[in-house]
Amino acid sequence: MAKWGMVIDLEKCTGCQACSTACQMENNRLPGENYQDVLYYTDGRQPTPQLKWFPRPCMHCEEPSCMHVCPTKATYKTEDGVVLIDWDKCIGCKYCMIACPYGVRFYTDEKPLIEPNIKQVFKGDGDLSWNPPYKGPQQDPKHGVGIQPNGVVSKCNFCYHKISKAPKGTADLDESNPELVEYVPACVRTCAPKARYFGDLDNPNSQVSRLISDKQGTRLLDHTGNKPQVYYVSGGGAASGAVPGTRSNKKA
Amino acid sequence: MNQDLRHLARDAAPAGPEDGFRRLHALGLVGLRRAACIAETLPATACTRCEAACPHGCIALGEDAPLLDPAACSGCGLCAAACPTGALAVDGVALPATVPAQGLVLSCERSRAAIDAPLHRVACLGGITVSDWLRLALAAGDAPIRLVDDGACAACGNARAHEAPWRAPLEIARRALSEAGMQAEHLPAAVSPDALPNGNRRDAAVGDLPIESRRRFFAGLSRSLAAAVTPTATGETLPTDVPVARRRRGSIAAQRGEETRLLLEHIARRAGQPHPRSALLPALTASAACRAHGACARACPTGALHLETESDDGHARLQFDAWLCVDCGACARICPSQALAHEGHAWRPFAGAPAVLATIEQSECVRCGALFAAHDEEALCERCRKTENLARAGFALFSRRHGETPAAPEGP
Repeated sequence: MAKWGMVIDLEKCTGCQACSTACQMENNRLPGENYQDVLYYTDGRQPTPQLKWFPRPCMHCEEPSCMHVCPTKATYKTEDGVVLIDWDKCIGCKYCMIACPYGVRFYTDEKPLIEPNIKQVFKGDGDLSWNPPYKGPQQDPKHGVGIQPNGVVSKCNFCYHKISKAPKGTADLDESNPELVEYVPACVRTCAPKARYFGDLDNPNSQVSRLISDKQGTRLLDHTGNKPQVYYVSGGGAASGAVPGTRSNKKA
Repeated sequence: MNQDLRHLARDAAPAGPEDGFRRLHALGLVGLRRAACIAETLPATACTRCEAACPHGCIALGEDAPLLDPAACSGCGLCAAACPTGALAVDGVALPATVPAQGLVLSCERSRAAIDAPLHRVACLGGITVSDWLRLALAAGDAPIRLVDDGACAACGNARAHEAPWRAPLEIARRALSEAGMQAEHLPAAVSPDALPNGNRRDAAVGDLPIESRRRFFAGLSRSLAAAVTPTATGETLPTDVPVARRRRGSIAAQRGEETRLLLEHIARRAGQPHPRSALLPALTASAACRAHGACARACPTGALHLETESDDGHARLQFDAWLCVDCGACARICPSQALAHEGHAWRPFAGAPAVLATIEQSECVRCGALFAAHDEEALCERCRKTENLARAGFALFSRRHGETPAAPEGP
């Protein structure tokens, strides 16, 4: 069984937020409710300020603290290493949001992010939070995929409706491979500078595994013991590595 | 009596297909209302009260499919009586809705005492809960409610530690009723068969009907009568593929608590008291560590806890209704700041309105505008703080590798 993971090359990322928009469209979310975002910060002071950014999807940790605190066991880890929410079990207590050190879980029911409340304009059927005019065909509450019901926490699912259909034994879900492109997560597929790689971390020959070893892939907040399955790399290895690498090198 | 009152309490339960009782086993006598079961909906809480109450070890509810061993089940109803949320129903322990003017005499169906009075026989007297006793007492008015104590209950297979299973709930009901102002002579009471008309007692009462034949009898009864035994349990077997319905705050009706409060208040008013002096209630305390996360309120299966966040003075208030609390401990277990401590049931002064456990000052996050409970005058809410820490950690990590001192990021 594969252990899906992601590698994000911070040197390539341009901060364009195309991934956030793709995520929002793929998962029937409203603007601003996307499951992943790109953090950006200004670093340094005049006259040499720098704009820095990095994308923040769910880290799909090996030891997810969100899963351990869930009182209903609605959050679970699949055999292929993805952390998912069973919306049929979630009671929306939000303890997982407090426990997650990366802040990648969302509860959007309390107040609308934009006025007028678009969810009221496109009212959902039954328990669903809304009925978007554009929407994907997939609806799988057991895996936290599709339109979100009311009163539950939601999160990035690595586009589980796509990756779970990939042929068994696939090492890398590469968007440039026409046979695999339909199984690639939306953010990876849409990334214009190709800063994201998605593949099997357990396969030593996969591109993600090679990138992690060649470029010293790093996990964020490793001291929490969560062991994320999303790795960040920057530059060509030990010689470079600042964010964004090239510009930083030139300055030095 | 007052049918309305009973319905008032019953109406607290939500309507819907998940509300119905389904048989745990096609041949079993026990029906489960899955959406009301704490073990089914909050597996981490590990409620095992039915399991602990079952004298024959034949029931187990929880994460895996709920189990019932119909061959071992004697249909005594002790599991249903122990369930704090009324999620279980057992055939054969239904009680009458009205009480005749000459009173009601309740008896075990295995009792051989010959009594010349209208008897209502139940599978086991231990299956009568405190709220059942209160309801009967209210329905009876001044008519006597009596339970036939033929002395065999303590030796019965349903008994624990040689104590008749009906004794504890009856004692609690008697105390609750006297706290509500009921006269001692009107309280439901256990009487020996000799005290009843033509009553006599046979010492071999239990031995006459071996438990094995009882089991076969009940299995056969269940098979033949299917759904007709009581209106509460339908003939269907519990489907395991149907998801446990998503539970919103308070959607498990804390029927018993709500009903008990209504009944006691009514009895107290009839006795000329504004309310009962005291009642058997659990207690919950919140320490100063409470940060108004609200996880407790959202996890509370009965809605006994409520976090009021939008008040005029900008304070969050954690409210607790002891009557709805079933003492499952889910709130104390889930609290991210470990601020809650719960104590079991004890006789406490009557509380009509929910108590305010904690009042927490809230401030507005300078970045996202959300209200949050600030420690040490932080400017950012937990979420924004997390984002900032993550960004700082990420940049520090990559900058350090390059031999630079990490610069503190400023706001976006």
